[in-house]
Parts: sequence; C-alpha cells; structure tokens
Amino acid sequence: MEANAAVDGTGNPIPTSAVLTASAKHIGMRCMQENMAFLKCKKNDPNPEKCLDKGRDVTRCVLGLLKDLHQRCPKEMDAYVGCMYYYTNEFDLCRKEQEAFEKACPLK
Amino acid sequence: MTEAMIRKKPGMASVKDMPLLQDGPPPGGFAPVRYARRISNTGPSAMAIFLTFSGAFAWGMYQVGQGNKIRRALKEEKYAARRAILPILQAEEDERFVSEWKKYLAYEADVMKDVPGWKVGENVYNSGRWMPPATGELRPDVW
Repeated sequence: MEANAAVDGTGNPIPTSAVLTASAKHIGMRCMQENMAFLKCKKNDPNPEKCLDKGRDVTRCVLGLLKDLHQRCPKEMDAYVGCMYYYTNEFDLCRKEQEAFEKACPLK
Repeated sequence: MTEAMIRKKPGMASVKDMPLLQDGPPPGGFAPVRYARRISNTGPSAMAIFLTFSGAFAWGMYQVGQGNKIRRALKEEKYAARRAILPILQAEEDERFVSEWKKYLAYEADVMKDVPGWKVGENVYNSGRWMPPATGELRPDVW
C-alpha cells in the first residue's frame, strides 16, 4: 500500500493529507453546509461528544465526495495526489496536474 | 681601482676636481607634462540623474507590490485549502477521542468503585465549559 495512493484496495478513499489537499477546493465547495454546521456547533460548545452527529455528517460528505471524484476521473486524481504527495502539498508546484484534474472533474 | 684612477683628468690636483658623473636630463630637457585638471561638464544633468533614479526606484517598488499580490494569493489558496479540510480532520479526531474517553471513564469507574461518594463522570472544573483532559500527554498510545 503506497502512501501516495488515493484509494485502498477496495476503492474506498484514504483521507491522507495529499488526498485532502488535492480535493480541498471540491470539499470547500460541495461540503460547505456540513462544514459550516460542524464549525458552528464547535464554536458553541467545544465538547467533542456534543458535535459527534455533525462530525459524522462531515465525514460522510467528504468521504463520499472523495469516492465520487475518484470514480469520475481516476487517472487525473491519482496524478494530482501523487504530485501533492511528492511536493508535500505545495499548490504552486503542481499546477499542471491541478489543471488536468479540474478539467476532468470540474469544480462546478 | 678607485674612481680617481678611472675618471681622472690630466692635471687634477685633488679628487674634488674630478669630472662629474651624474644622471641628468637629456640635452634640451624633458618634454612638457600636463598636470592641470580637465573634468568635463558634459553628460546628464543633476535633474536627469535624479529622475532616472526615482523612476527606477518607483518601477522597482511597483514590481515588489505585484510580487506581494501574487504571494498573497498563493498563501490565500493554501489557507483556504486548510480551512476546507479542517472540519473532517477535527471530526475524525473527535470520534477517536470520544471512544478513548469512554474507555477511560470505564477504567475510572472500575478503579474507584469502592470509594463512597465518587462521581465518575468528569469531575474536573467548575466553570461549566468543556476543557480537554490535562494529563500532560496528547496521545498516550502514540508516545
């Protein structure tokens, strides 16, 4: 199991830092509701037990989004994740792969 | 032989009358040498130099500003990505923390089951806010 893989053997996405930063723009756009709800809950009460359900919403949204992205454009996503892994999440050093990824899986 | 034997002239009464052997100028003297200043008044004027300098400085500062804009955009991109993935990381950590905390509470109940009047549930602070447990260790299973 390489560290720069986006999914494990059964196709489930692995939320490593490279995968998450590669799909950060998509996450910020598609899972914004769940993220905002979770952050509001946390601001109210930092107790982790109180925001578990919203946290589960967030996890479900993000993992589902990662799986969807990987199904729609596997090669571009793997290339982008590999580049992110190689350059430790530097956006400026992976512009080519980023453009290919956003052309294949548009930001909508 | 002494100098007197070499340079003597006939009829010399003493060494003081020897013909001179001296380094001197060539006949007619040396050519004239110019030693006066000749600093010309041509070239750019003071105002021209000052304007060129100011222009170069202003253009340089403008380039600095443009570069800062680009760098700020890059930093904003990085921070936006971090803001986007913060909730899922926090949610995963919350799940892990809650399961560990439940295990710890069970252990505390087991240890203190014979102590009368001991409330297992988190007798930490009185302010009502939730504070993270202050054991001094962040992840005992990792460290």
